[in-house]
Amino acid sequence: MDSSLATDKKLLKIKKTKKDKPILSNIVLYIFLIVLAILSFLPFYIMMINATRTSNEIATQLNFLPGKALMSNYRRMMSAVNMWQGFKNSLIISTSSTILAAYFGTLTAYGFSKYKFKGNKILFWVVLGSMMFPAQLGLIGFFKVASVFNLIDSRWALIIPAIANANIVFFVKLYIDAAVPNEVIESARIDGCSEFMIFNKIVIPMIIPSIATMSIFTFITSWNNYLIPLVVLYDDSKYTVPILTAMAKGVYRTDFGAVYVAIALSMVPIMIVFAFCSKYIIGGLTAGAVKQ
Amino acid sequence: MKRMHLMRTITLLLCAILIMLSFTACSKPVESPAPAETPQEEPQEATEKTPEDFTGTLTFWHFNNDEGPKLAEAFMAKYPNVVVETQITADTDLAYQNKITSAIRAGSGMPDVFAAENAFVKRFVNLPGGYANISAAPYHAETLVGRNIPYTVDIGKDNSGNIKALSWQACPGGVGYKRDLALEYLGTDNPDEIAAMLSTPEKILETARNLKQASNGKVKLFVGTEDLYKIYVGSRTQPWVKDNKLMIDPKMMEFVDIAKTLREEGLEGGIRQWTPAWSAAVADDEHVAYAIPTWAIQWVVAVNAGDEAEAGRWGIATPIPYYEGGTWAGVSEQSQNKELAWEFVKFLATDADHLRDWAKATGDFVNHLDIVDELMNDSDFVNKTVDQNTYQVYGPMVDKIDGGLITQYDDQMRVAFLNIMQTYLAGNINKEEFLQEFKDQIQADITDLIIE
Amino acid sequence: MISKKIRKDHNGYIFITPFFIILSIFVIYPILYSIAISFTKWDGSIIPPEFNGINNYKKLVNDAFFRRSIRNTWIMWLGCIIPQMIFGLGLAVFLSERKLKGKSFFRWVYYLPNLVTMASVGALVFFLMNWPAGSVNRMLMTFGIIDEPYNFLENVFAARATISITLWWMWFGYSMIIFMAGIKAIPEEYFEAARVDGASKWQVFWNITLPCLKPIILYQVVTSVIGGLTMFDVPYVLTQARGNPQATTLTMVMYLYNTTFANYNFGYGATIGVGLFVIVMIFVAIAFRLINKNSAHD
Repeated sequence: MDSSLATDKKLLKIKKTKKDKPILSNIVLYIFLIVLAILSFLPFYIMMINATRTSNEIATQLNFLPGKALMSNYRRMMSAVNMWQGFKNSLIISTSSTILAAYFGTLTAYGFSKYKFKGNKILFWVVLGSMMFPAQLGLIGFFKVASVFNLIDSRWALIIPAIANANIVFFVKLYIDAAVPNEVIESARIDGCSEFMIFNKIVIPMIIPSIATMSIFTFITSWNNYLIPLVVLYDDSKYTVPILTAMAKGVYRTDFGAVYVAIALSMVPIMIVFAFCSKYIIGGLTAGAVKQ
Repeated sequence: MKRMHLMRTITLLLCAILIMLSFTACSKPVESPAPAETPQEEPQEATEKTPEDFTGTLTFWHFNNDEGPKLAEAFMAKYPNVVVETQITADTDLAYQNKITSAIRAGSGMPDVFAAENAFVKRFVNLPGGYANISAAPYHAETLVGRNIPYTVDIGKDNSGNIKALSWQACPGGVGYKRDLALEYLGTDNPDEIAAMLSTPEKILETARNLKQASNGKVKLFVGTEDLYKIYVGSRTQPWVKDNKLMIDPKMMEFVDIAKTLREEGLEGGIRQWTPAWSAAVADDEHVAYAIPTWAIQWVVAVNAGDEAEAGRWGIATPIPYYEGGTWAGVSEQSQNKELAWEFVKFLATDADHLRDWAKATGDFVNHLDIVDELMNDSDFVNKTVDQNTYQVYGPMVDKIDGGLITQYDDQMRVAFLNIMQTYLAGNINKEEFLQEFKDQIQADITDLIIE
Repeated sequence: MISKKIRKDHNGYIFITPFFIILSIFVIYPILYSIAISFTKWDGSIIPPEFNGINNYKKLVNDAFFRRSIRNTWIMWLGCIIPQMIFGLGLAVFLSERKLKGKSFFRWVYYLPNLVTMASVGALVFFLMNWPAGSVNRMLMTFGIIDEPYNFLENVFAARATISITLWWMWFGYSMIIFMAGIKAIPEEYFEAARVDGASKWQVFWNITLPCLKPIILYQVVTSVIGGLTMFDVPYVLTQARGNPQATTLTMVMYLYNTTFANYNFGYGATIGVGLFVIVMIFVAIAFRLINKNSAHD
């Protein structure tokens, strides 16, 4: 509370000159933000707490305090599935997918944004259009392609298609349109930079926030991806975390304790990635870059 | 000219990447099923092969991590030179079925042997390219299934009557009840007396009302109406679909009426099956009865009863014969090693020694009449969860089950019927609307079906 | 000069080529394949699809379930997207501009719901809203607000609202972050200039922030039209896969999924997919026109 009071005072000083009613509006705002924060955190918290409860407790009551079943839940989960191997698989797939998607997506976005080649608009609509087709249906043809390329039961089937991430292209293109002035590119050309050097050395640093933002989402989407890995991977030593989470429950046995341990564990890496990347979103890099 | 040049560059690039792609794909070790090391031209009947003579590797797909690996282990114990690689995919959101149909379509990647659950086995035995026809030479499955329980053999047949898959279990069903609650509020925990109390719809209602009164409304007879559905579905006299026509058996409408009365008078728990609350209610003191087919003693009662799993708190009564569940397995048409695959399937479903061991190790109700007879008369074979010999409980029912009641549409029927019935039970539509809604849904689900 | 410029523009092809190769193989081919099977009758087996002309499309136009699913999807999507955009934009502005303590904490916590898989969220919400023993029912009964447990998920309004609120809860933090990234791209000079001119906060928001966010708003609207109209997991888990009660929460993709994978009607499933594709395409085009037209005025 101390800290918020300090902020209120600061704001008070700033705003008094503008004849506003700052204290009240700030308190209202804080209450609102805190209520929303609780709402966002609560279900997440319940999932974490459930990981420490027995299946019966999870099924019969809403738990707010940790129980004692964490270790036994963990042991049952590990005896059902090899979760750490799953972590390794998921990390390999999600990390490489994200890197590929971010780099090639940005490359493509830049191509669309700064080169007015013939067919630019139509091809861009093709990119947009590819997002609009329901993934569940595309799966039928996707499986066919994957088996033609001998990618069934291979992690490559999940990594290579990441290059074609239309979402990144769309977002980053809009961002480049707004944040990268043509003059910067022209002046680099006059300085004798090659087109790829301009992209790698000048454009990428200017648009880091947009790449970081999209990378987070790509990583999380890839990490949580369930349907495609499930259909494409056969060998359970290649299974990813969401598949193993579903498996931990059992078919007839409904072991919710083991499932919640798996869910809680599976959220840890994405929380770390998010905490790490979110700095880049707010880093204020753009503001500086555009001023040049 | 420039455009031509550009197009060529792009094409070249495309080719280069395609080649790279296929190269990376090929360079990784592909786990193709091991080549058939056993000479296939060798006539089967001529030599009596011992289990040791079989060598090689099989892939086996199953949807249940609790069962699949154990089946493979049992086989490998008897066939020491064979390796069975079990690959599990849970059928959450139909994923297991999706995976199998995808692999069948792709024409590659199918395992040597794959399992199918009751809910979709009829569909799979009729799916072209799926299971090999094991009625044909060289398998001649008919000659081996004489001691299997007939209804399970019928379910494993396709629409032309060829056997495609075999099962190792039979799943007759009873009503599981909590003995302590029954004794306290109904005055008895004897299975026969409980069975008598539940033998007709009128008696079910009467018993439920008595229970409510005796417990001051605290205790309910059934955990939910869906458990009662299993019993009613198993006691119909005609299948859901006959001659491509939808048949709504009078039993089903009887079920709807009794479910409505139970709901309105607060005589059932209203809990839908396989929900967390449903699992948890196994251990509570408020819900007396569940539909318990053979496997559910282990997978519904014991796993959810916690420390009381072996305390004999439960009893099984058998008021109405029905069946639910079961798993089948067959040889994949794509298998490169069909002889060994068939040996595995044969072992699972017909090897009497294995089935005896399996029954003793897992408590499963196995699909072999000799073993059923043997265990029925084995006074030491008592299941601790229910304090009864499960073969004595379920055994008399096996020849009353009609395998002809099962169609490939049963799962669609069940989902549509129960979901729409929820809306009816909640009081949001009347019975006529319920029936109409059900027919509309089924027509949308199964477009070719004739619905009157 | 001019010829040099043209040559530079052709370099664009090189930039987009790797992307398009992969897109063609793994995305466009499957789409074309689906479009092809939408003209057939096929059960998804190795028996080849049987050409069926435009019969599937004729059926689609008169399909009561498809119409219901369009309506349901729109209702639930609007119930989610309007609050999602308001919260996302509002929070982004507050957390970017105001000198608030704990900004980064709030940003982190609001995004948490998006980390969990849809299926887990669906299962949790089902547990809360369940009849008769769901937590919400128990809470309401404990506080004496209701005497009998209320069957929320069998009431049309409550079931739809539950789905909309769940999706809003999952996605407002995402919108917030996207808007924040957009606000960060607005040159600081604009704000300074406005302050020097003595503009109020509201005027700054209306005349600077909002116009500069046009591309981001476009992105948000387009991606949420796509994401919203293809919604699947949450209603699938919450309504037992069939859109209870009476298919009032059945979404287009649920209908597609059930038709294809539960009922093995691959041909008609693909037709539903193409129908959905066309609908989404129309609304994305409208969104582009509306938003780009507005920005032309500025």
